[in-house]
Amino acid sequence: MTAGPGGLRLAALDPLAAAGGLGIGMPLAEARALLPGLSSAPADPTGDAEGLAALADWCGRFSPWIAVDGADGLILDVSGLAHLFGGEAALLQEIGRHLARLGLHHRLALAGSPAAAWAWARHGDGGRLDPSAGLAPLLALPAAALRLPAEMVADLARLGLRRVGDLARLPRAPLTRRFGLQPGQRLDLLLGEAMEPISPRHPPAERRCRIAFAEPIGRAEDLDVALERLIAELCRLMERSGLGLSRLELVCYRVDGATQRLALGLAQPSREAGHIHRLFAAHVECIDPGFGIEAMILEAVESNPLPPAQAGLAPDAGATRDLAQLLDRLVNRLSPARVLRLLPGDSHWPERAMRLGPAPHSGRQPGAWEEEERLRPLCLLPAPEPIEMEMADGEEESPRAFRWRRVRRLLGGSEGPERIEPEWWRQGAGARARDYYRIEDVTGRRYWIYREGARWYLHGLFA
Amino acid sequence: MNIIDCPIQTMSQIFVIEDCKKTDISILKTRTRAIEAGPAATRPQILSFGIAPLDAALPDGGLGAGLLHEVSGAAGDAAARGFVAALAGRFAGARGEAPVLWCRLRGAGQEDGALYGPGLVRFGLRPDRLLLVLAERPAELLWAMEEGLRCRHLAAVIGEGVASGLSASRRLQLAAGTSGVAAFLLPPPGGRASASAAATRWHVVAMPGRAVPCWRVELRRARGGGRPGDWIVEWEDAAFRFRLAAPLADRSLVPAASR
Repeated sequence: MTAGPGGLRLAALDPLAAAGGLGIGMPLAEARALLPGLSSAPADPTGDAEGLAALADWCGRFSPWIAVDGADGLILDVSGLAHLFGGEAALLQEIGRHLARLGLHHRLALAGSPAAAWAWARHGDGGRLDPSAGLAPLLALPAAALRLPAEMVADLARLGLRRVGDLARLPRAPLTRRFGLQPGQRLDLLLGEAMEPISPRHPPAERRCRIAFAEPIGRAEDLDVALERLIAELCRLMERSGLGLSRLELVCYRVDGATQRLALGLAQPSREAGHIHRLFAAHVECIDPGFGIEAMILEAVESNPLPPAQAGLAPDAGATRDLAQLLDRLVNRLSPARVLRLLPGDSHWPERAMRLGPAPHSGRQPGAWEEEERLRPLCLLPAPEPIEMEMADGEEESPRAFRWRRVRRLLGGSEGPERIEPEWWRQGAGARARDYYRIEDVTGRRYWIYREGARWYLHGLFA
Repeated sequence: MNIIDCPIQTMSQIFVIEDCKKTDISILKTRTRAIEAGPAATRPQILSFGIAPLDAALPDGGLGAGLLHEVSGAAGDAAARGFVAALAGRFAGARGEAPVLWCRLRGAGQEDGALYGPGLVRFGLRPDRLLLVLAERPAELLWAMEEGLRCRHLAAVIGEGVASGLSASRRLQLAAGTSGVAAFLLPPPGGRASASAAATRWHVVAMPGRAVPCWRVELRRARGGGRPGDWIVEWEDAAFRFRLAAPLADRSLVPAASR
C-alpha cells in the first residue's frame, strides 16, 4: 500500500487478493471491508528495485543479455541459446520452476520481439507465443498491450479502438495526427516491424564458460574442482582465438536466488590455466555458497591479443612472464594499493619529487629518474617534524645542539643552506621558502633539516 | 670427498669440477655443496665487497645470493637501510638490472620515514627497478618475501620491519636457496636478536666525521666458517662501490676502534 488521495491505497496485489476482487489503487479501508483477513505491508519501491536487480543478476544463468524493465519486469534475450536448455518450451519451464521455488509470482512470455513478449506476458495468455499462429494472437490483445499511457488508452477506447487489431487496421496518418507518433511506433515494435534494442545491466562478455550442477554444491573442494574445469575451458577458448585474459569474473548462482561474484585482474594477458587457478584459489573461500550453488559462469571481461607461446626462443619472455605472475599473486592477495613502485614527481619541492604508483604492468616503465646532483636523504619522514635548535652561548647563528623526539643531539657538523622555493602555482601565496641543511650529530647520524621563517623542522634521514 | 658420486647433470658442471681440482679445495667444497643442493642452486652468485679484509671474513669470499642476510640497525639511523640498498643495487647491477622487491611492514618504518626515490639513486638501486610491497601483518610480509624469493628473475628481496624467528627464516632461506635470489631482512631497530637461520648477520650504524656515507659495519655471525669482525666502510656513490675508510685502510685486519 502507498499513500494516495484519501488515505492509504493498494499499490500491488498477490493473485489471491486479485481473485478476491481487489484492484490496484483501491483505498485500503475498502479492501479491508471486502476481504477482512487481508494482510498488508507498506510499499517499498527502493527495496523492490533492489530485489529486481538481484533477480536480474540471478537470471544471468539463463542469458547474458538481461535488462530491467520498469518496476516489475525483466527482459532476457534468449536468441540462439534455448537449445542449451532443451528448447524454448523447456527453457520457459526451467525458469518458471526456479522462480516458483524462490516463492515469486510471475508471468513468463517468450515472443519474437521484446514488445511482443511484454504484451503477451501482461495482457495475453503468457507462455511461448507460437510463431506459426502469425500475428493474430497479438492483434487480439487489448490496446493497453501497446504500452501507451493510460489516458491515451482511455481516449482510444472512447473512439471504439479497444484492441491492437483495431489500431493496426487504421491508416497511419490520421492516427498520428490525432495521437502523435507514439501509437504508430509502439504498433511497429509489437508487430515486429521495428527493432527495439535491449540495454543490458552488465554488458555480456564475448567469451564465457558455464557449468551447471545436477545437485547444488557447497563444499570448497567441489567449488575448486568446478572452477578448475571452467578455467581450463576458458583458456582453451582463448588459445583458439589467440587471446589472453586480462580481467575475468566468476559468477556463482545460488539456490536462494542470490549471486556471488569474484573478479580477478592480471598484470599481463595470460591463458595459463594453472596460474589463473592459483590466483582464484586464494579467494574461493570468500564465496559464500549459502544453501548451495547451482551454476557457475566464468567470463572473460577483458581480453587482449596474445600470440601463441614459443618456448625457448626468447629468454626475456620467460622473465617478463614470471615477474608478471609474481605481481599477480602479490596484487591479488594484498590489493593493488599495496604493491607499488616509486615514480618521479616532476617537481623540485621535496614532498612532491616522488610519488607512489601502481606496480608496473609489464617490463620496464619509462621512468625518468635522473641522478640528483644535490644530495637527497634516503628516507623522508611522512611529515616534517618540528625540532628545537639550541644556539651556542651568546651567538645567534651557530647552533650547538637540537632536540628531536625528546632526545637532545649534539651537533657535529653541518652543510648548507640550500634554498628551495615553493611552487606558487601549486601551493598558493601562503607557502614559504625553505632553507635546507645537512647536519650530522656527534654519533654520525645525518639528518636533513630546514628552516622556514624562524622555525626548524627535521625532514629526512641520510644513510 | 667423493666427487664422482655427485649428481652431475651438465657438461659445464663437470668442467667446473675439473677446473677446481687444480685450484683450491675450499672452492671445490662450495661447488660440490651447490651441485648437491640442486640444479637451480648451482654456481651461487657471490658478490664481493671489494674490500679484502671484509671479503676474507666471509666463507665464500663475498656475500652469496640465494642466502638470507640479516642487517640490524639503530632507531633514527638510516645506515642499515643504506647498506642494504647499496648491496641490493650491486646485486641488481650484476643481474642486468633485474628488479628488487622491497617489502615493508606498514607502520613499522613509519618513524624513520619512507624510502625516498631521489635519495635512493646514489646507492645504485634504481627507483624504477624497485617494487614496493606494504604489508599489514608480519605473516603477510613473510609471505610476500617468500613469493618473491621463488621468482628467480628478481635481483634481491628485502623485508623490513619484522624479526623473522627460526622457522620463518628457514623458510626464507629455503626459498632463496632454490631460486638463487639474495634475501635481506631488516629487523625493527632495538629488538632483541632472535634465533634465525640467516647465513650472515650484520649490525650497521652511522659513523661520524665524513661527508660520504660512512658506516661501522659489524659482521656478527657468518655460517660456514666466517670470522666475525667490524670495519669502517664508506660508500662511494660516484663509483657505486664500497671502500675501507682511509685512516684504517693500512691496518685493515684490526677491528675498528670503538667510538
